Amino acid sequence: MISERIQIIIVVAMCFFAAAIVRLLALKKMDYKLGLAWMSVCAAIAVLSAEPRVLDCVSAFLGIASPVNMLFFFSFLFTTAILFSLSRRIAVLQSKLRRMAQEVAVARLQRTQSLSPGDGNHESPPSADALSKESLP
Amino acid sequence: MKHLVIIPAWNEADSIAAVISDLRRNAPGFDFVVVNDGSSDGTSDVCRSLGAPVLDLPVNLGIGGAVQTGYLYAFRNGYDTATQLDGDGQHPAAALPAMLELLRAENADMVIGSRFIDHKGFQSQALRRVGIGWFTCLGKVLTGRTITDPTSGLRMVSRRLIRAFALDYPPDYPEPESAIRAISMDGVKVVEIPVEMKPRLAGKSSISMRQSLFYMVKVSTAMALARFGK
Repeated sequence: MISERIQIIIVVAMCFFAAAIVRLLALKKMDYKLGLAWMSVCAAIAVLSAEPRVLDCVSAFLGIASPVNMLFFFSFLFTTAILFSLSRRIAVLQSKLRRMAQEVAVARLQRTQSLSPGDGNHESPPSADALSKESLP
Repeated sequence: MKHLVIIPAWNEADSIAAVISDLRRNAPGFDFVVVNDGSSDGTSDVCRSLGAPVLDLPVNLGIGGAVQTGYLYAFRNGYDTATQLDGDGQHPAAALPAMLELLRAENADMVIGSRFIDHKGFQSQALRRVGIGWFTCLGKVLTGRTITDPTSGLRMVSRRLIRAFALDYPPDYPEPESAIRAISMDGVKVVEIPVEMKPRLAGKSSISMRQSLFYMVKVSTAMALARFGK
């Protein structure tokens, strides 16, 4: 049985956490997909803490003896899901960053070569049309 | 036809001049570009002082990212072949004409310069040879092909693979995985040619002993996925 004190602490903490997320969203320091995911985590934890009967029913259904343990278990699951999502997003960002760095390097050299065409490697730089015609996705 | 040599370089200021000189002397028919992978020792300045074209990466991407930049440049500039040649002085520029001749004669898409056909020149450290032997066996199991030097960074590719690698190239420890990927592509022919390599002139390898275990596991996994993943 979850004590009333802990219920209040958890609900208040979730309110502060939700307010922090809203502030980060407003300041554009967090994107909406992750921000809303964290808000749903806050809401789920707050609801489960505030309404112990829901907590008791679900934990009984899942066969978990202590409702508080179930609360932490769900928190762990949500957090793991978000971490997994972040891992995937980091991999995508790495790939995009790599491509951007490569394009910058190629653009720099081609600009240098177009400004000084007698560098010995090319007769003349390719036209912009030639570059974009077979551009990579 | 246009031929490009891609020279990835990370802190190779002490050896890059010799590499450029070797290329100009022994492979005059080949254009080249140095890919400066975020060096902090003036590698780029050395190259510019010699009149060599340099792709300056704004951040360090590692060997895979650097070489892929070279492939991107080769693709955008219409090169027919691209050869990867290390900036540490291990790879002889004199091997390039023979590699090009083999690429044409065999109608191949990739020619790998192998230290382990004639067993001449620098044969790498003993522990690395064990790792190379493992990758050779794994490659044989995965593809039925024996590539004697799957980790060799001296390789020449056709325009078809220039495009493929410009699109997608392993970001780290790329050589064995890219060789398996090439072998697994329909209609792509991969051959080897004996070359005599030298110990690196200066600087240090990008793979430390501490990273070796991760390297073995990562590359083995990547080779298997490259064979069956698509």
